[in-house]
Amino acid sequence: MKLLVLVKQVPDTATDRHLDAESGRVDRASSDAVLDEINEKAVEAALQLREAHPGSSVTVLTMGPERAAEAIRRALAMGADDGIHLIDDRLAGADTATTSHALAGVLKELSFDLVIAGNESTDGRMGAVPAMIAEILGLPHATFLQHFEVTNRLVKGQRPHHGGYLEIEAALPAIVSVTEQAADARFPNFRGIMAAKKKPLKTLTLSDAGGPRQADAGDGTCRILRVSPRPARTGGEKFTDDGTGAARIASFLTEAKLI
Amino acid sequence: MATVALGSKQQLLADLAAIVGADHVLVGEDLTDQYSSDMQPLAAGGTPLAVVRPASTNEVAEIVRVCAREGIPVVARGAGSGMTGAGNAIDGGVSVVLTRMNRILEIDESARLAVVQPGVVTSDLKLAVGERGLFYAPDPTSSAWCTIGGNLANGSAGPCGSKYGTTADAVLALEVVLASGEVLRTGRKTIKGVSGYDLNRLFVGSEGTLGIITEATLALRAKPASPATCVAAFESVQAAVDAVTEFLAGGHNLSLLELMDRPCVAAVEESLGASLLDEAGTPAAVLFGQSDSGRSDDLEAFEASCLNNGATFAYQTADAAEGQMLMQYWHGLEAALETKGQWILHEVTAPRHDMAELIDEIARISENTGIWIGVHGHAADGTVHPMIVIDPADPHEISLARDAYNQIIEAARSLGGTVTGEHGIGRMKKTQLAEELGDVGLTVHRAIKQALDPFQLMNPGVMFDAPSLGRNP
Repeated sequence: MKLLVLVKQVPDTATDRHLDAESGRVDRASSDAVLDEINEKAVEAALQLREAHPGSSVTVLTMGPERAAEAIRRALAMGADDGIHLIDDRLAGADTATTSHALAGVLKELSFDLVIAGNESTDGRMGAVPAMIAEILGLPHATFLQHFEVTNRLVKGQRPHHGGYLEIEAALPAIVSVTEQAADARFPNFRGIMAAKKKPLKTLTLSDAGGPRQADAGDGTCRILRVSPRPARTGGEKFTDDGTGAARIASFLTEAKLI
Repeated sequence: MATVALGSKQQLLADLAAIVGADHVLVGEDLTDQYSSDMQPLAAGGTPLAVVRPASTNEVAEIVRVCAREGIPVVARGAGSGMTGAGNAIDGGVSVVLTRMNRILEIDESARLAVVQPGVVTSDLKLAVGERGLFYAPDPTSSAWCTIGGNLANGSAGPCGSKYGTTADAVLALEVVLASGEVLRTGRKTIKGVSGYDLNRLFVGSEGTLGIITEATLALRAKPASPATCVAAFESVQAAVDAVTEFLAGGHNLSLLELMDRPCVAAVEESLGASLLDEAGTPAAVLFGQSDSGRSDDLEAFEASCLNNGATFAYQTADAAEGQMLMQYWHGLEAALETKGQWILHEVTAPRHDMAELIDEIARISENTGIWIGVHGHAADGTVHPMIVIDPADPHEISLARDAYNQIIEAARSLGGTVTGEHGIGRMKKTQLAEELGDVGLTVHRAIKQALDPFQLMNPGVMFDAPSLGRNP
């Protein structure tokens, strides 16, 4: 089986993350960048599938600036076989639609059986790219799966839904996305880290990536109207408990709609 | 325990509140419990009369005078990251927490020095001077939260010690509040200075027993290059130690050279869900090396020494992202051990070439006591950190851990090592310190203590016992 994993390099959620005050874009320079944790799970799912279906391969695809290659190398160190890096200045600040068109353009030129993605990135948090790509390519999508398997050219999985599960299946080729409940990702080991450097990593620009529609940042469907910083934390309210403490705490919580 | 009459106690608390403000005098176990002990579970913390949080040297001096007047012992404290109970509260004493004094007062780029208050967090200082292209070298592994004051009182070191020295080597000058309440300035701002006794080195490592450090002038260096990393795996600890011996004999050094034994590596493998090398079996020892020289010859020599001494795997990289992935196997140890129980980070230091023997002996101690012990250490200077892991709710395990703790100190000393190379004495190693110092050494220590703190105000019961003053200590 040819497995393809979509990955993204994002600001580390463990550090302070910032938006540029004017453009509203993520200020990628101001914090550490990591392979988005949900994508690690997607890579892990792909590696486990490869183990279950001998002869399979795992390719990792990302769209991002130069640094994003680190995310690919992390996935390669985990055990993926090769990587593709779509890098083009015209894609800076791309919105969800632009991103989806660009990635679909790359995928159109590849043969694959299953695309595995994370359900939602920790920076953009739109959660829509996997489904958008599927629509563009005319493929089925089975998203927000906490677990899935592949048998006889069908992918079957469970999507949590209102306290229960939907059982979803789709015929390959298809696109799936995994949730936080998916299996924990393995950490790259010494041999994997050493081997990653030698694995193929292809770099593409928009001109190389064909596709049903030439993507361009100006074609985006979303426009940022305004960016404002989170309001500063206030000092809170301080009072001495003269016996009315419990009642005052209760009314504070009620006013804040916390109880 | 100091006993104070009730009226006198109220007066003391009122006096303290007048100095620091009522908001910064904490009374009652709900509030003081978090300041009771440090990171050493085997040293019980006491219940203080109050915890006070001063904001200036003057406030510290006034606090000391007020406590001296009442004969109340004083414990200075930073973040509480210590491993020997030196920052533990004393029953009925006053704990002086210095974390509000957290300003970097000056960074002098041309003189390459920084003037800081004791509550500055070590990594904050490193970041701040880093922005000016400078480098504060000492790197205790708790840098993300430990304070400069604690580093000074302890004489802390870190992985870069064999290349850049310890905290003591970075001190140019100090400001210290003495037991008398007077404020002493030691040292100088110049690169060299031998005016009078070297009081810097008296107070660094004095663990709060001679005074409270309220300001420090620290030497800085030029910012080194981003580190390149090399890791190597071995089938015996001795092979790893031999590799380091050969490497150092070539006249090289590294900014980080750490060793981990099999139990530690296995714990990290389990926690990361990855076996270090694909082959079955965890290596007996792994060396992590980093060079910040910007040249490649030191790491090349290191890799060569590893391979010459039977390394089953060796790999070096100048790529920062790759280096970070490799180093996660070292950084991830404490988190890995947390899933096994409570860890006690022990420290003993032996002659560097005897490290393998010491680690093997520690493995024997682990087997005999039935307590899990994994060892990592600074391979270039002979300091080993046995990690003793226990179930803190099991008194039997606690007792066995204490046995193991003391046996490990014995093992280091019998190899010609020392009771402590970096963590200090605190309340954990007093007996062994007395043995190591010998009668004359202990007498000199007591004479110095007597000269600077005749009424045993400063952190009594830590490091060594002074002769009884004829009242309950």
